[in-house]
Amino acid sequence: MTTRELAHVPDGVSKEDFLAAIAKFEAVVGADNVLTDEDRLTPYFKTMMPVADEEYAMSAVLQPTSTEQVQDIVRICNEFRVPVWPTSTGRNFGYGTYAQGNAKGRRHQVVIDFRHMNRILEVDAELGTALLEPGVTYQQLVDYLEEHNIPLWVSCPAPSAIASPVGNTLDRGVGYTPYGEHFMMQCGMEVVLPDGEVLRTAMGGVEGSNSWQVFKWGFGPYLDGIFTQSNYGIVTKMGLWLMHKPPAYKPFYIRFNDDDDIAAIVDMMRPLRLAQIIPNAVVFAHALWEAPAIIPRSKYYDGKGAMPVERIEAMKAAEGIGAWNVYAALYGTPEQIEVNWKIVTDAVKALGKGEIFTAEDMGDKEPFAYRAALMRGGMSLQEFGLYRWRGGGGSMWFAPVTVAKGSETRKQTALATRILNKWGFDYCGEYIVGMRDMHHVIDLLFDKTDEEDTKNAHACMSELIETFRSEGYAVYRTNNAFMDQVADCYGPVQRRINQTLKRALDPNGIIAPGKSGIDI
Amino acid sequence: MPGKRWPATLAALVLTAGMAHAQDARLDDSRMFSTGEEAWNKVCSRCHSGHENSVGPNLLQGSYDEDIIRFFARHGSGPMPAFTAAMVDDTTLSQIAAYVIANHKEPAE
Repeated sequence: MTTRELAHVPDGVSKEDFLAAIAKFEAVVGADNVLTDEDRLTPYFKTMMPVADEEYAMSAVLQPTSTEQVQDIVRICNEFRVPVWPTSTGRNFGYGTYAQGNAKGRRHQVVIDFRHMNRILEVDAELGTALLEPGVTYQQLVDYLEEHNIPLWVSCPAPSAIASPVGNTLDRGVGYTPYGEHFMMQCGMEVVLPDGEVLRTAMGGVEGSNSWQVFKWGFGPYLDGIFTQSNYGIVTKMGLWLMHKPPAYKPFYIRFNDDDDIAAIVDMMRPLRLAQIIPNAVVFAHALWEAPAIIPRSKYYDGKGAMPVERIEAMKAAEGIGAWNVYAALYGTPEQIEVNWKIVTDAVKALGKGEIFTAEDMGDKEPFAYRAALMRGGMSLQEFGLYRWRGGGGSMWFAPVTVAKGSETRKQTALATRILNKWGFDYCGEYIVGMRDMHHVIDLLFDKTDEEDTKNAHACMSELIETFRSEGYAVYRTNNAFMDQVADCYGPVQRRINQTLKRALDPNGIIAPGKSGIDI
Repeated sequence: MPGKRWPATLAALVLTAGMAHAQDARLDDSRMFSTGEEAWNKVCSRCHSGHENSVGPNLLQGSYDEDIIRFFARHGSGPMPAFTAAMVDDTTLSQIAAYVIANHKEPAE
């Protein structure tokens, strides 16, 4: 029996059983890779959610180095009914970092930190595929491609250098290149199931197959989707498609000056996106998303509550920021780009508003420079400026899905702004265009060191979810504190089928109980 | 000349065609960051180099010793995330501190 001091014990597990489980974990991954003391756990506790971090504190962190070790961990968890919450690199700041459940019965789970499982197992330069372990970061993948002179581009989220491609894809995150819908570009998974068995999805089940990373569907039901945003298994390998570097690349920026322009922008850009004239995940960034990347809020407003409209207007005029700022790019041969550039500029001209700028016009000026880098998969931490905007380190992503129609964006923007301003928060939002859908991504920024601000942020998020739900909208992703509320938006039948799958695959409910509102 | 760029790309593709690259060792077997400067550039510098749009204090102009850097790296502070040892190990933190101290500059008058 181990003699470790324990800060926490998982709900529903006796201290004696937990210590016995810890001893077995130590035998599997080594004592140094079982973290239970406060000192080593401290970096895992911090979250940006409007909650007391200690309510989400884990009881231990395990750092496996192989799939076999993960299998053993799962078997031990079943034996002692210890809940285990897998994370990739835990850098999902606005969505909860390493936090797990906080409801009674789900607290103090054991967290798996996959940072030591960080091998790039295979990159096929010809096919543009990669097979990764979950601890690989975007920076590592980009460095690897550069070191080996492989002309493939990665699609990454904005502040991404220390985040995980596998983790982001499992959470169905997005990037800004033509491969920006990350789960669409995923192909093949290795999953440790709750009983310890290893599943390789689709072609990965065929002995000797070399098409695991090229054909998504295999035979029979397509399974990969049920392992995203879920708790039905632990993904230990994932295949991704990477974009071949095109011969030419032309990023551009269109500035629109009026808030109401958003409807016209969406309707102008939709046909260009659907026709693949503009193939990447286009962004429409509001002025209050644009500004935090380059200036402190205090430069124009240092008071309480939401930034007043007249201060926003003064900031826009002085800094040259549009009400809406469109970033997109063209890819292909120079000849293709020349043709498509004419189509784009003609569309802007026909609209009769919007000023268009190229890389030659903008040089290395921010935020254009980091946006131009992002649209070819370039790493950037520029958007960390969002976290300075309000100060105090509170951040939550409220990200409702919308259709790519101008009338809808005007409605969602007005609705979100009204609720945020009512609670004293700024509308820091952008739209990221898929094909027919858009992710309306809003960073609800608040001062976590201020009790009232934190309480208001929680109430604001809850009201945003409920009000949007009453209008037929729901978010595509959320942090740990709101997973049940968001799961409710998708209706009782989805909740029941998710529970049915959970009971069938994980009868002891040991993997991430509460994740996405799913439990036995 | 734009028209000549396809062949260059194709040449790169041909060179790598059929090659499947694989990495045998875990990256941290050989250390994630080879120097403190590399870790500083990839993890710290965006927020702590004193640009107008920096998020945190300029570490190159303050009195920051290794203990202070280690404390904030492990605990985070406000918008600053906390970094686990698996993300930035103790040796790297020491190297970052040494880099910060070695590159200290007095603020301009």
